Amino acid sequence: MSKNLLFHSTLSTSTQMALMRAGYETIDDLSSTSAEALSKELGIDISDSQAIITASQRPARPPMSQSIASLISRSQNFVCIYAAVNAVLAGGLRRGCILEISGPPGSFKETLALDYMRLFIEANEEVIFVDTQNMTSLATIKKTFRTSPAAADYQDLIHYTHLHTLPDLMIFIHNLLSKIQEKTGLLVLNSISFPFLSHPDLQPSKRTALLETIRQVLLQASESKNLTIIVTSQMSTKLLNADGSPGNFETGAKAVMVPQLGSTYLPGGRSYRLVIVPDSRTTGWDKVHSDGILLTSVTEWFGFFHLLYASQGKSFLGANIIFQTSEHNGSSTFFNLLGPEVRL
Amino acid sequence: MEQCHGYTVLLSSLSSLTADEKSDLERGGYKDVSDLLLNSPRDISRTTRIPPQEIIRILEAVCRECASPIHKMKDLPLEGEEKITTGDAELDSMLGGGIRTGMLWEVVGESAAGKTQFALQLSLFVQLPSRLGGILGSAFYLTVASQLQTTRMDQILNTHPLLSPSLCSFENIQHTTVPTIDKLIFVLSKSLPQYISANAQNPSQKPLKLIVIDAIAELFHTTNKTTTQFLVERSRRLSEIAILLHALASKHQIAVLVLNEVSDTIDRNTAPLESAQIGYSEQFRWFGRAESGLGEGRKEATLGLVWSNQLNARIFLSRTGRRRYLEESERPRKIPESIPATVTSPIHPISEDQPLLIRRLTVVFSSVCDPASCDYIVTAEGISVIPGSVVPLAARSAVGVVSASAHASMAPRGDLDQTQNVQVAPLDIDYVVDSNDVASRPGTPENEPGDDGWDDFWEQNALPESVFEEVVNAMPS
Repeated sequence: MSKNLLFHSTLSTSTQMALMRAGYETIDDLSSTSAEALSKELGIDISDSQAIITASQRPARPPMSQSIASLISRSQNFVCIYAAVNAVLAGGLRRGCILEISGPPGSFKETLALDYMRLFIEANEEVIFVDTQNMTSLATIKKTFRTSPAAADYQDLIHYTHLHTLPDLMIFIHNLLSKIQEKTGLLVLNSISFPFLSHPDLQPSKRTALLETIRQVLLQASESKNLTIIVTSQMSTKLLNADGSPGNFETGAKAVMVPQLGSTYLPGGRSYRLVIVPDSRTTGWDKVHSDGILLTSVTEWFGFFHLLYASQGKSFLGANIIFQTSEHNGSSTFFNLLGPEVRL
Repeated sequence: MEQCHGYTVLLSSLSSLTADEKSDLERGGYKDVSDLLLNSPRDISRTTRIPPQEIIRILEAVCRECASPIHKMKDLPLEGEEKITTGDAELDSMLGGGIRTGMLWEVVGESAAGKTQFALQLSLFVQLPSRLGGILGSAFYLTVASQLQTTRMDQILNTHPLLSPSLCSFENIQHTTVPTIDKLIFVLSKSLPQYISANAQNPSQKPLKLIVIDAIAELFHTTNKTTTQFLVERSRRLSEIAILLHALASKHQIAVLVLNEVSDTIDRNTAPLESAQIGYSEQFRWFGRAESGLGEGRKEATLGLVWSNQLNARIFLSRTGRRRYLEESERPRKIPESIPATVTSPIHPISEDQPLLIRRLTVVFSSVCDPASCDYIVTAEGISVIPGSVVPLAARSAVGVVSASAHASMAPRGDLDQTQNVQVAPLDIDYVVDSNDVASRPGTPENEPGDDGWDDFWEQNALPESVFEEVVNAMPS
């Protein structure tokens, strides 16, 4: 029941345990207390209790005076079939959050998005699916759900459209809020980076303005309509000099891959960026990989990259789990969530 | 499926705007819907004297009017189900049933690996009725620097058991050359849509179902020294081409087959990466090369990440340098005696005594099938997969089982204390689309003030519309 408070990934495991032990189950329970009182009661730092209070004041949740068990028949947490993804998302994708999945060609971004779609379909919720570069055809969706009895209604629940250009994307964005119905649970934008290629000469300031518009609409959709949003994105090459500053080809020292759009379009406090790459830590012609595709996501916490290493599994030579969130809470206890307790 | 092409819709044609609003907008220089969408309300307000709140209201009204309905799947016609046979059952199976329409396929490989064979074959197979693996479609074959190999196509037509002159003809294969990027873009944006709609009005014509581009890399050959500017420009053009190809593919359910070239793989020393960084060179080998463990890693696809990002599937053809004698069961059917003596072909007839050149086909990535690899040979009939040689590659289900053991934090920059001399191959670097970086990037020559002169020049010397019309009329029907 304290799952309610566990939704906020900024809280460390120990904090969550303390809350549970003290009998705090729902957000409402916290409304009558203050940071100081809470810190005394739980025996935690004032900064941590402050974090809890802030987290509990997140906007737009359904009334929380009942316990979560009886409250909502809709699930709040989406657990896909890939254990590593779920681990990196601290248990699953929360409803109302935005997930960006990026990776080089051949990484299973679209397959992952489809798996999340399956979860919503099986819960009888409607999905809006936008395909921009012919990656997921109707035939592919049909093939995915055809054999699943729990997803028998998929043809009735999935709303599907193509769009390819930036103006068409902006028209869609401007109309999005009006397209969201009562039963709509998920929007999939596959991929969001492609339409920007139709206007490669667009000035940076205009681009940023468009990304900002997208951010506002996505924020509103997730806040007031509780819409979960999954976008896939292609990557670009970034040239960095030896000191890490941006370079160009004439001076470039190394080329790294980054998601194409930057983070402007992702609303803070509810967005996650997942980067999926095949493992490539070893270069060597003698090593024949079975192309183990692993999850990598970047944690960015006030500009610092935190990396969680995972040990080597059988089919691949090592995994990097990097996870990025734009949460603005300064708690450094975030990383405990993925600490030793998580065994896969 | 209807699509609202926002960028072509003129503001003057919309009903949700008043006449005053339309004239105000036009005076400000905003002609079509995309002008309105891609500029900020503040900028529009400044140039049209319409207050920003009004602009926002106008924008919303325009978007509502231009919105295309998003239908439920059950109300949509089937898409993506049509498959064109490659003429070889095992290859079809590897590809998920054949070459599907509504997608962008790439076939990349060295010269003489069989890319053109593949394209020629497909141009014939698309015409077949579905009981024989075709989709009763026609093809449009675009060549850049080469000629259409009609003789070879004739030979395939006369030797492959599935094909026959009664079912397929050259009349169903349109051909034009596109020696420049501009010409290609013109064909894709103007000529082809016109051809398709003219075709649609003629019931006896087979609908266009296959577009071949042979070969895209030839458009980007350059002897100039590679610079950032060249690469940025190349990325722009590739993106332009890709948008047009995908729009054609989805709107008309066409299979787009693009042939690409390879370059030698360069073993690069890369600077050490920060732990959170994803190195381009390392990643490229997974999507730019065919690495099935049998020695094809010597060559890699050209045009880098930008082009790779556009593809729905990449098929890599390699010459392996292997030869072997085939068992009788592994051989394709013998060439019938009836081949006319006048047909010359670059492929030697199969002789039982000679070992055959084995080639390797690898599906590097695909949105409709799993990566796999097989051996094949090229015969008079075309491409034949050696039975039993199909090897699946990456297992997608292998994802996920990782155990977290430790965590460390590192600063992202500045840890490199040695500057390594790094060879970054020129064709690897693509257009960086990063809003954070743009401000700090050194100005490219395009941004210099002198360029305004060019804008004026083109305004005064714009090509008349008639030029394009002449070109369209000159095209073979």
